[in-house]
Amino acid sequence: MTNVGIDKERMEAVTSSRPTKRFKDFMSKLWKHRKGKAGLIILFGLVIFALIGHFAAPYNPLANNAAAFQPPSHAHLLGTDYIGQDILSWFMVGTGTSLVVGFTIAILSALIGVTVGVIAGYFGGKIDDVLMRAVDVLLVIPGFPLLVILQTFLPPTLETTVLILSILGWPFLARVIRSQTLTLKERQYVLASKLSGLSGMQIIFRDIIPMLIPIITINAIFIAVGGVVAQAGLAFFGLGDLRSVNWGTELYYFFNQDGIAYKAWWWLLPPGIGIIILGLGANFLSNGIFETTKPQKGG
Amino acid sequence: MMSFPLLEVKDISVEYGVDGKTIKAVNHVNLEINKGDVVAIVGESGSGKSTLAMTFLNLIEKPGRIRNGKVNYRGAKGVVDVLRMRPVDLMRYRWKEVSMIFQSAMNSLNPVMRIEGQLRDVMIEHGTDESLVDAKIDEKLKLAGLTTSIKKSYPHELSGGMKQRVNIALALACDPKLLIADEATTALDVVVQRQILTRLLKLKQDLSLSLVFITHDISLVANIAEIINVMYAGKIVERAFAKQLFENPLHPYTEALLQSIPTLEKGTAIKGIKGTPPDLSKEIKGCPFADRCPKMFDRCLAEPPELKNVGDNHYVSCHLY
Amino acid sequence: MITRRYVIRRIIYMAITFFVAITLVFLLPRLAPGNPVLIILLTKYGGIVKPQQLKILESELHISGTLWQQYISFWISLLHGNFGPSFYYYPQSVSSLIITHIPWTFFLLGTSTIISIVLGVAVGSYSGWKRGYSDSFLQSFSIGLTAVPYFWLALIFQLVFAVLVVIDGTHILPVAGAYGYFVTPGFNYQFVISLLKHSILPLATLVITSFPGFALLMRNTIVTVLDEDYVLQAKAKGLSLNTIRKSYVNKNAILPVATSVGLAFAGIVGGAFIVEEVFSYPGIGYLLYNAVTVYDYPLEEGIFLIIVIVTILANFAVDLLYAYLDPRVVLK
Ligand SMILES: Nc1ncnc2c1ncn2[C@@H]1O[C@H](COP(=O)(O)OP(=O)(O)OP(=O)(O)O)[C@@H](O)[C@H]1O
Ligand SMILES: [Mg+2]
Repeated sequence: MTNVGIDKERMEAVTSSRPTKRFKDFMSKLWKHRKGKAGLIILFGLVIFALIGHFAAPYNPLANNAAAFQPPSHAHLLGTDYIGQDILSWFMVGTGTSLVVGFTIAILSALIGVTVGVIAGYFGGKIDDVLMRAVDVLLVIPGFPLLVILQTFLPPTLETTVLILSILGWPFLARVIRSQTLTLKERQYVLASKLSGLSGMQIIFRDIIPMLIPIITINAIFIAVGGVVAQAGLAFFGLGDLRSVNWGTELYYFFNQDGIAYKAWWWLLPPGIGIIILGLGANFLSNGIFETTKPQKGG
Repeated sequence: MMSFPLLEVKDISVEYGVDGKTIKAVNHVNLEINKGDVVAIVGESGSGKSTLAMTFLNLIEKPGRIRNGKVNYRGAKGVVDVLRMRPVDLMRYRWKEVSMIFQSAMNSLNPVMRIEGQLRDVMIEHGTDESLVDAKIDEKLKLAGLTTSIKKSYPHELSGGMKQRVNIALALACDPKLLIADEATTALDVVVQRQILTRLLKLKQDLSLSLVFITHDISLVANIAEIINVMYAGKIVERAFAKQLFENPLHPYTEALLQSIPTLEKGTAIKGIKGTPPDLSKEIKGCPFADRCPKMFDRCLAEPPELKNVGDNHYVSCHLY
Repeated sequence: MITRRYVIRRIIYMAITFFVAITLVFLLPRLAPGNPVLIILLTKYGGIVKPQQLKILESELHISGTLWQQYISFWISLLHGNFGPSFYYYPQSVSSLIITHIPWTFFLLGTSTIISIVLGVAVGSYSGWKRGYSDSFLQSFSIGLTAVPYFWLALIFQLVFAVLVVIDGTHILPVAGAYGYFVTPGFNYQFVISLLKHSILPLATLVITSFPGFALLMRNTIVTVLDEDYVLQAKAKGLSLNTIRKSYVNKNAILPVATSVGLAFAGIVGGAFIVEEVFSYPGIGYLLYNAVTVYDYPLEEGIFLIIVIVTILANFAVDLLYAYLDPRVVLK
């Protein structure tokens, strides 16, 4: 048999098969990409910020022994809230919670989305029909009201919120993965694997999923951001665990505890800016991953 | 009789800038097309055939750039350089004087517009009287060998061969003087290929068209082209009347091309051409074919050969002659 | 192309989606661990619910009988447009509450969706055609805006227009409600002006956060379409720039935008709900917010169902529009 039909991409994947080396190569490419680098720095910065918050926030965010509604000062760099909690500490700890929320949702959603998408795309037929119909249905039902209904009936904890958001976060990814799988499974090397007697599952794990990693990552990044925003929106609507310290609850208390009347801009700005920075970082990073991993065309 | 060329390409060079590299796709090419000529441009993939043809319509875009040269067209008002026309004049020139069947004919129809509409807009744009358009649409479709009922269809409803014919009808829409057919039949099966080529030739006779055939398959144009230009790495390396070229190919590359034609005789194995075309983004010092050439000698690596007339309007660019 | 077969297929999909959503709403409270409707009622309203209220609730909430019986009676009253009584606003029915509030939501949703699409398509196609400097600027600008969460922007508007920028004790723009306290609803000048003024900030919030998505999509498809062979051919045909733009580029580039409208609409619904909360805008989002705070479950359920129906119908309309715009659609 000749090599003629073997895809270049796959060849590369096989020839540099040590995962650590491939990861290193990928990172160095990403680092050279302007936006990719910016994305990495921004997201890494947020994580560091959250870690500092976890271990060394200036105050206990829930200690309320300062005067309420103080504007920023030396003692409280971002001022205090309605019961005298230090806002900087709140924000730092809240960043951690929100990031963990986003990360967990991304992982869980990606697991579901990839499973559904690959199965639908690879096996096709009836399974495909049923799964894709389910995806269509989930995509059409407006997410926020559904979240509200679900959260109403589940215990108001952060865990249930994360669970709900994970269960609702995957349909779009599944659709993307399915169409990618459809093209991948026609590739020469997949057909070769089939001829050599590998089972469907083996082919999926050996030949298909590794090729999908960039696109999964890109989508997972957006799911994470979407998850953070959705959790914040729910908390803002008064749902979920309102005692949890995160960006959403910070906005909830600002709105419901007279933040506006006291003109407490120092209380309102941090969580919004946090979300914006996260969103931009995610956008840059995914753009970087997209451009550094897309197959080179022509030449 | 000394005839003035209809289209005269003078010393044209085109480059593409990709990833910081400059690909010299067409390199100082000269070409003349006379009224009523059937000219073929033949060469391997990537030799610059399509790029050259695009310059006839001044269609080189974005990553591409015309480095120098002229494309002189002889119209009603005398000779004009197509590359330096005012935008309005260029619009009038395109399709009315020179039209083209694109290599990507399968994708060059607007997917959201009926066939009829795509014929109509170009006719109206070029001044066909509104009341005559419908009749003309039918006429062109018939000329291309289609039934007129397909005019209500969208491109996706047509087969490959039908789309190809629609493109012929389109190319004829404004009664051009020169028609360029860029790999007009590549995607089709042999029977349909024949049909379409024959039709184009017949049209040429009936409508006094000039034709330029572009193909990588020299056998396809053997019986239809009068003059054949062999292109390699952005240059024309040999030009002759078809008969002459087939009987007495001079350039080693042309020889190789002819040997790679599959024949029906048993025992003659098909020979491919060894090696690959040169990287056009690198400077080539000598003859671009040198490293694949069986007859290569010292001079071939040192200096580039010129295209010269070796008698009887047979041109070749090779140090052997 | 719109064919009968296509319409029938879309209607079937619509029915399936609707069926799933309704079944979900029916099952959720009943499947939630240890949390059937009655328990919620008793824990949340233990001392407050009047006995006669409880009795009506029991029958109208379909919480007696087997699951099947409950499910069937649930459907029957649904088909009669009857969502039962509200807990909190008792004895008002859920349907009547929704009917009084939903026009405001329609207004917000409809207007903001249309403005967002028009603005997004305009900015996106400008950007895609222009390329170069203004293109990269518009792109970064749009990407920046997509990262802004709408509830935060709504709060910023509140802060700015309710307390920070107040001239001589009057607000430049109203920050709460759908119209002024002193105007009488109806077709009179004061009312219409007041209505428009009150809608500016909620609409601005929604439009600013939703149009960049359309703009980015439009820009990218324009760029892709400009590279298509049929556009090159259109240029070769000597067509005027105007014709190329209208019949060749825009007609094709609008297609992905049209498909995205359905999905985007589901997102804008969420935005509208939260924006109504912030601006006390009396639509069903505000109603839902109140329902959540007072545990008015039937009301939540009714609102959810209504908005699902609206979204499904909107998607159906978009599908038809898409089929009209793209002749290839029947094949898919
Ligand atoms: N739009 C473009 N961008 C970058 N490079 C291009 C572009 N179009 C053509 N080229 C390059 O220019 C060279 C000549 O291409 P061209 O399409 O003219 O060749 P061709 O002889 O028509 O080949 P084929 O038989 O494959 O159509 C090739 O090296 C090609 O890679
Ligand atoms: Mg070509």
